[in-house]
Amino acid sequence: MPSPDRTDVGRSIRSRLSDLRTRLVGDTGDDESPVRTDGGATVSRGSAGTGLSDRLRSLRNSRFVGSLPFWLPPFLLMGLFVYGAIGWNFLISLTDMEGFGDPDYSALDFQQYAELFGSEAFINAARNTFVLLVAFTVLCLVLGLVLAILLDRTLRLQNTFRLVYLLPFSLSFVVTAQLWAWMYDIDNGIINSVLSLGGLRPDWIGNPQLVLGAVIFALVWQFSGYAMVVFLAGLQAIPDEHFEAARIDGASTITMYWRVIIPQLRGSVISALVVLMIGALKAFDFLYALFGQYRPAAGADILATLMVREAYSNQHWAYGSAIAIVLYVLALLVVIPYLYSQYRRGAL
Amino acid sequence: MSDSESNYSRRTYLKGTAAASAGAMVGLAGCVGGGGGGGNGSGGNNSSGGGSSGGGGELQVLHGWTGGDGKKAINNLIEKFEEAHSDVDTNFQAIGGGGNTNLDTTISNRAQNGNLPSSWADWPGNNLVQFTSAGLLGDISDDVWTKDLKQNYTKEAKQYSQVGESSKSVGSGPYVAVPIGSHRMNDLFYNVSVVEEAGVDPTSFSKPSDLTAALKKVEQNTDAVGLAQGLEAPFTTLQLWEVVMQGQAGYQAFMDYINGEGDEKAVRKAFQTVQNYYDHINDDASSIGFTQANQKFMSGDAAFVHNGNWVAGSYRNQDDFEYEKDWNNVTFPGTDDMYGMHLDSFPFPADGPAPEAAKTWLSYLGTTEAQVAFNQYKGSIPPRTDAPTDKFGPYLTKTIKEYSEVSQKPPTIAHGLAVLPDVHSDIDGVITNEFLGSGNLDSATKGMLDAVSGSN
Repeated sequence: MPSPDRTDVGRSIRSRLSDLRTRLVGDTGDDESPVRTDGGATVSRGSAGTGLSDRLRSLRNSRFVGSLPFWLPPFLLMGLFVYGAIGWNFLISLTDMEGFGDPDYSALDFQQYAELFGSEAFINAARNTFVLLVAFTVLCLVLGLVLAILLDRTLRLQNTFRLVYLLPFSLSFVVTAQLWAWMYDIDNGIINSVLSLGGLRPDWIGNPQLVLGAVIFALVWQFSGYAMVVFLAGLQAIPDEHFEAARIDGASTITMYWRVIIPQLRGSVISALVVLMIGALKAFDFLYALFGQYRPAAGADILATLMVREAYSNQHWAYGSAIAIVLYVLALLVVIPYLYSQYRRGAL
Repeated sequence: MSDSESNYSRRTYLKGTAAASAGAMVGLAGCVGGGGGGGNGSGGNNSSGGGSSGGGGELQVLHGWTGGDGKKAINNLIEKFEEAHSDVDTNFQAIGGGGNTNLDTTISNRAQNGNLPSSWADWPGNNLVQFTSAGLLGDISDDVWTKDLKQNYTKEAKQYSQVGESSKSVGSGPYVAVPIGSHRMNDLFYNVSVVEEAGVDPTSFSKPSDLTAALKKVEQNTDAVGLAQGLEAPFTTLQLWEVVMQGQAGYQAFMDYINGEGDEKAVRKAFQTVQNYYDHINDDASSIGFTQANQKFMSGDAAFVHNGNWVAGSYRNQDDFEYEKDWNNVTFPGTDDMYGMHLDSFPFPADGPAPEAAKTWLSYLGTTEAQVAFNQYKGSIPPRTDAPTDKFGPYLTKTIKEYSEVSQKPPTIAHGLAVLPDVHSDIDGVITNEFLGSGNLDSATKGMLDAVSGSN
């Protein structure tokens, strides 16, 4: 296609866009622009009696009002169905709601939270959740980074390997949980078949000391491919010159990655981190599929399973809501630093 | 427009959005606070299948029998019901998975939303107090529990169908459910050939510890393990602990425990015995369920299995696995004069859809025809004393006879009759975390006693 044509099209789109902007925002730099630059002078423009219509006009012309149709509908939907539900959940956690029937909103207190922090089951589940969160995230990041670096070095069958590592991520928790249930089988599982050569025969699911580690390993297997893809994209965005400059300055491969390349992956680390940590908090699906019930084996109970059990098996709605709020705060603790760092860097 | 300007305006909007969202939250919280009960219905209701949209006259019944003998039994029952009452518009839904986890969750959600089905399968007794205390069950003392039912149902079946608003009122409240069948909880099943090979005589057992010795002997003399067990869910351990407790400490000590006055020594000793048994179970017990454990028993990889007598239903479906020739049973050692009580029932909701059709269904469940149709396949016994036994086979016929002969019928904890659901849940937690998890008998014993201390 001849290029003049294209610029024409480009120009006409641009002019139409600016037209649209004029209509929406009223910011065109014509005779009305003094409104913005010289607030004091504009008062004289309208007579005193038209103050209301003036205000209406300025309202109509304001950017905020003009932008309303674009963000208000999704905002209201989100506000109601997501944040409204969270707010309601918090409210329920302040009541004593148990059993069937309506909650009593007249006496609100933090009693459920006090009970929560005094409960051994909660402490236990919170500890497991924390261990899962930290161990899973760190292992995924390290493994993902190593895989990404290996794949980033020109390697034969690079795409094939990328696919191989990413594939588990595309499977649902239900499938991977069943797969690992078979892998961990004490008699016929492939892991113990290999270990038995060395005379070992651990009970991966039944031993409370091992089961959380087994769950973490399975989750790492599933998610490290995702971390790899994020890192790979980050690595490929780093200009070749950086590699070459490091080489010319005589850096060994390890020094080069450690001092030059990895520091530039900060953005990738943060975005992978957030997704992985949120994933760890939501490991409920995996545990439910692995154990076939809301109550995982001893040593594998996390806040999410405890919450569902309290709410749906015991009808302790307020107590379950309190656990949900704790879980929500944990998720916020993960997300807020990320949002803040994005904000500081001007990316938000 | 420069970059910085665009950032500036975007941030302005974000701030505006944040302010507006705070405002909206406050507003919404206000709405909820004022609106009270009006806001029902937004919870995670999974009224699977959308059957609730049916007309007012449709009988909607939920149950959890999705496979094996349970499915066969309920389907046979439904077929017979539809033959007898072809005018009733029916909608039966099977919700399987996770034991009864999914069915219970569905019922729990629907109860919370004031949207219970016409009836559903559930355990009676204390298990129903969660509904009666919220006024969700209707009184069928006259409409369904006619003179015929009251005369012919067993005493225990009647007792656990009468549920008031608290645990104390079980047995004295209004009739709210109709039992359809009962499983025996204190049978010990043995694989005849394995036991013979090991040189063990199960009929000689007189106390629970005799079984420990037998399990050892089996493992010494054969390739099989002593006891087949699946520990995926806590109920298999709990029901075993119950019969051991009954066998060692007796009926009264067990009832005292349920009533919150358990003897610390008896509780611990029962745990000790179960722990001794668990030295002789299959290695993969912790990752399998009871059906897989039962497979090991049938294939001769284990000598004994303890469970509710629903396992007997699966033996009948197994080729070349005959009663008395290949498998047999004794009452659990020490519980000869007891019948471990279990009941399946269908409750009647206060505001369910099609209440007349629901009463027709429940009245039908009270007939001998329905009870024979269901129980002959389910492997349970009819709660009516006058049901003909000719279709039940030798094992169930014997069970029916023994039901009327024994003097004590301790209710099951593991299957909801004996304690309130939250007590049951606490006990499950103790079994999972303290007994099976840490294996610490002190904390397990303390947990078991603490769990019931508030009850009754």
